[in-house]
Amino acid sequence: MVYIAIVGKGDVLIYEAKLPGPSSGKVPPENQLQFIVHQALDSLDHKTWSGTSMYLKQVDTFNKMPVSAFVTAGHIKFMLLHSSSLEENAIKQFFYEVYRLYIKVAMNPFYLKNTPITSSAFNDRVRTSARNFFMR
Amino acid sequence: AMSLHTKMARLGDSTFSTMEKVNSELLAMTYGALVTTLIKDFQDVKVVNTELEKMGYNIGVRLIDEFLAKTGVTQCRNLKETAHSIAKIGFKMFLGINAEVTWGADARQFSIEFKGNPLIEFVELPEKFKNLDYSNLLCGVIRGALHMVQMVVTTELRKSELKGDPVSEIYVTLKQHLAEKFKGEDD
Repeated sequence: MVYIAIVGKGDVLIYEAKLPGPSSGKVPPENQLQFIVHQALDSLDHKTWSGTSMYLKQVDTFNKMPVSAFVTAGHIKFMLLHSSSLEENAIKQFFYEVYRLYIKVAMNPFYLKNTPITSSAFNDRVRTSARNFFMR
Repeated sequence: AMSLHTKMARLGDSTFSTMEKVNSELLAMTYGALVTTLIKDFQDVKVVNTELEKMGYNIGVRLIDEFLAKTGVTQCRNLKETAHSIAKIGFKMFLGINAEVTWGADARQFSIEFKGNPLIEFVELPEKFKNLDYSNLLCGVIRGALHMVQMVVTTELRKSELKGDPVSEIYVTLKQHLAEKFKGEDD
C-alpha cells in the first residue's frame, strides 16, 4: 500500500487515498497518515526552491518509510508515503500522471481551487495509475 | 445521384473547413465561466436553465444569417430537411461535431443527437446541480434561428452526456409556421 496526499495553499488537504502498492510490512495507523505527511511539508517547502524540477524525490522519512513529493507549477503538492522498495522512476511517472489528472479537475468550471477533490473519475484514475506504476 | 442528406453532410464539412476557428479549451472555459456566474447570480437551477436558453435564443436570431450566408442554403421544403440542415450543416459548421436526426412522436417532432459537445469539455456536474441543463444555450440557438425563418418551436435538452447518457439530445417540437409579414400588410 502507498498513501497519497494532495495539499493546496495554506497546507489544506484536498485529496488523500490509500492506493495499491508494494507493502512494506509496517503500515502506519490510519490516523497517523495525515500527520506524517504534514510533518514532511517543511522539508518539502525547503526542497522546492533548491532546484527547478517539479519532482522532488524523497523529502522526508517516517520509520524508514520514505515520503516523496512533487510540486506543481501552481504550488499544489503531491506527497507519497511508500515503501523504500519503490523505484524512483515509477514514482516520478506516477506523479506526472496525477498532475495530468489534477489539471482535468482544475479545468472543471464547477471545481473551486483549493477545495477537496470529490470527482469519482479522478479517484478511479489515480487508483488505476497506482496499480499500473506500482504493481508490476 | 447523391442523396440530399449526403449533400448536406458534405456542405457541413466544407463550410466547417472555411470557418475561422477558436481554441476549444478557451471556448469551454468561457462557457463554463458564464454558467457558473449565472448560478452564482441566480442561485436557482431552473432560472439558470431559462437564462441560458434566452441567451441562446439571442444568439440564434443572429446566427441564422451567418448560416444562410455561408452555406447558401435556401428554403427547406419540409421539416425533415430543416432537421437535417441543423444536424448536418449547422452543428458541423459551428461546433465541429457530427449530429444525427431521429424522428419523434409525430411529423412535427424530431431529435438532434450528438456526442463530443465542445462546451462540456472538462465539466463534471456536481450532485447539487444535477437538474442543470448545462448546454441549454444550444436549445435556445435552435429556437432563435428557426424563429427567424418563420418557425415557432419548443426545444428541450432531453439527454446529456454530463448526466451519464451516452449521447446528448435536443428534442424539437414545431408549434406553428408563421406567415411572412410584409410591410403594409396590416394597413
